[in-house]
Amino acid sequence: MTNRDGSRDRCSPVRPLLAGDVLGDDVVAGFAWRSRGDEEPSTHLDDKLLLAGDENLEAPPERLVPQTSEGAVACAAMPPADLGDGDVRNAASVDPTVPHRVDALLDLPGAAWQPVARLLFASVHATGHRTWLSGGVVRDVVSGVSERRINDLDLSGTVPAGRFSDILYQSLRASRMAEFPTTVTPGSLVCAVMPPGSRTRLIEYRGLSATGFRFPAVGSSLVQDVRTRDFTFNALFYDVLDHKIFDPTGRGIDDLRAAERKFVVLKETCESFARAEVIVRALKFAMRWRESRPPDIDGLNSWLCAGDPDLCGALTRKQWRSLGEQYRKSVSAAKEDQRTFAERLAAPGRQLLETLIGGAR
Amino acid sequence: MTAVHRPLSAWISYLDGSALEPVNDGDDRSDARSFTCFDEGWARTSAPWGQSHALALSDGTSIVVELDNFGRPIPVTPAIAAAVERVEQNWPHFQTDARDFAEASFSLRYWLLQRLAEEGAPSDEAFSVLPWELLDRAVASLLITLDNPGELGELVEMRHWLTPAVCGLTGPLEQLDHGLRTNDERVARLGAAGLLNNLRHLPLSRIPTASLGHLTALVQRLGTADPWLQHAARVVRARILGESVSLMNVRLSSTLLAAANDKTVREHSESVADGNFRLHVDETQAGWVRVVVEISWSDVEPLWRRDGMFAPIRVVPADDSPEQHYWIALYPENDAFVGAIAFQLPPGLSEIDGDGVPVGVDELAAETTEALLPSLFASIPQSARQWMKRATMLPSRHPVKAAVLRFEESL
Repeated sequence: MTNRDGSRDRCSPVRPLLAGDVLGDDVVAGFAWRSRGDEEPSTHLDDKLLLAGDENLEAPPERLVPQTSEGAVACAAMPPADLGDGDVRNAASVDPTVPHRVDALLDLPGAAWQPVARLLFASVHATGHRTWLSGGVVRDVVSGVSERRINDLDLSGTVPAGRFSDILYQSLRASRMAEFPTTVTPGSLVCAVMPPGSRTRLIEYRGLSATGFRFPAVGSSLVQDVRTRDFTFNALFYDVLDHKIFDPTGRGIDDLRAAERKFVVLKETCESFARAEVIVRALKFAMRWRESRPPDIDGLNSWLCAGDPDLCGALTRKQWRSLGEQYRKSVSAAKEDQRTFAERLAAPGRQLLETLIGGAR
Repeated sequence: MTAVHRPLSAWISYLDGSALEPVNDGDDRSDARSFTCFDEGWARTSAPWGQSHALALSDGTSIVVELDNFGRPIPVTPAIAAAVERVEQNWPHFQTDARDFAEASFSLRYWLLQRLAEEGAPSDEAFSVLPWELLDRAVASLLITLDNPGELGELVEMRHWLTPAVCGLTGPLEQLDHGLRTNDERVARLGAAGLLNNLRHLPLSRIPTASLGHLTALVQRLGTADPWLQHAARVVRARILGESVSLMNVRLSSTLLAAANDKTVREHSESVADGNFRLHVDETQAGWVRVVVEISWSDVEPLWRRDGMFAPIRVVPADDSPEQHYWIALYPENDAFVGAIAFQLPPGLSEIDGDGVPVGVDELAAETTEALLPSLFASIPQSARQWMKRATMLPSRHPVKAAVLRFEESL
């Protein structure tokens, strides 16, 4: 038996509340997170229900999230049902080796996530929520990077941060990994787990992005989520249960697998620092792939030309420091290679990279 | 490694009036303890936060608040902040009364001992600052659950709070508890086996005596309740109490022939036994050894069902050569489960260690195919057939399945 989204009927019969559902007279707009402030670890009690009209609140309201959609009108589509038919592809149709490599990645002997990864996916799905591999790990698998060179698992899904923390901890307990500390970053709602005594993350999860609030929030739409991501090739999701790849932009897989990889920016923002971060990340990926043919950067240049021409002048001293730190951490290629890439960029990007490459201000 | 005041916690936030700035200036993957800005000029303090105070540092112009793993300021009283300052004055030597931290939050106690253990060599007594009452309550809860089927003890989450002192103790305990609580035999069995295996090797000196006493009771309970755990439980109990016990250990030399110095064919046989466990070795003149494990059936019904059992064998060379690991697949024969392997000893002296808890295919899922193959090639035919029998029920990605396929292809 298959569902509307093509997945086999292995999910819980329980349907969680999603952004877009109607509860009484209110439309569910998303989910925020605010710790209760005591010493308790984060749980679903930290998740806050956001309704249409909460956009101007200074802080998340004290409104708990019901664990199911019982009593609500389930208007929202459970992702990936919010995508078009062509945006959900069998992984094997992209590359027959991909499903095998994803299985090998999850079961990788010696990988810190190996005992818990499959249980975590199954536990999330048992609640009716969905979670998938996302971002860098999908990009790497689809572009042929060996699973042994992947250092962590990025996850995304429909679960709010507090409830994900609940599920994660129970999965860790069952996997003899209860000693692994878990975190929730208040400013991003990223949930992470790391080995005892280490800060190196082995799993990172973030709910699907929801914008329009004055505090961090998550939602239930893949289409809305990818508008906050940097490039189309980083806006891919992988369903490990059905071995399907979600490509909400409809072009991420092709942009990634093109002979000349296409750098097409998704991030819709006028904020200077956020735009500068995208440029640094473009350099990072261009240097990572510098052995391949030079990328097609028409999309990146169009995006740069549509923004503030004096991007460098709009950044504060503190933002320059932060960008310099990001640059040093993520780019280690020869300066000559970096300059070659920078010279191809439209003026705002070129000026920013030349400043960083030549030494941060 | 200096007496300066720097963060105990990996996350900090600048206090801007009554609001907190982003964790670690927006880079939450970084570790505030290594920020160069804290190299000098900071003093320990507490900052008013809500109705109480937060652990903080001040350089005279800025206040930095230390955060827990959920981005919350770590609560302190001014007296506890002063106790932290006293520790920092002598850093990394802990010369403070541990009772000064009795009322401190778990986060503060964890981060204090974590950094002390990383940067110095604190005495075992220093670790008494950690919340050992969690371990005591968790063990008491497990004993209630084991002794009273159908009755669940208190749910105790120990998380990472005790890991500055010992890693690998509370993880298996929580796994055992989770398995019993959710009636998942596999998870409970893995937890019990992991606990006993880890307690054979973990350093125990940082664990308070009273807590070790509680653990001993749990270990003994597991050993009497399940015959497969009996020997390992006796080994662990003896280790904790400093008593002697019959170990499944045999020392062998690969140079038997040379030592004999005559022309007769020499063999060396030795058996060790403890309760229903027996290990027998035959060594030939050419340095080959045959190891037989026999676990006789017990009148006691095992706590948990097993789907295939493999007895772990460690071969530990006396020099610095790497250890070799084998798993002997056991099969029923007469009134016992038996299995055997034969392999070439490493050069020189070696110890054959068979004290580990027999495992199922679940435990072998974390091994590589390459790590399992030597066991298959070393197996006598009856044991090899057990590997093949178990492999038929496993998914293709399971390393046991992959090892058996490669073994069959080589025949």
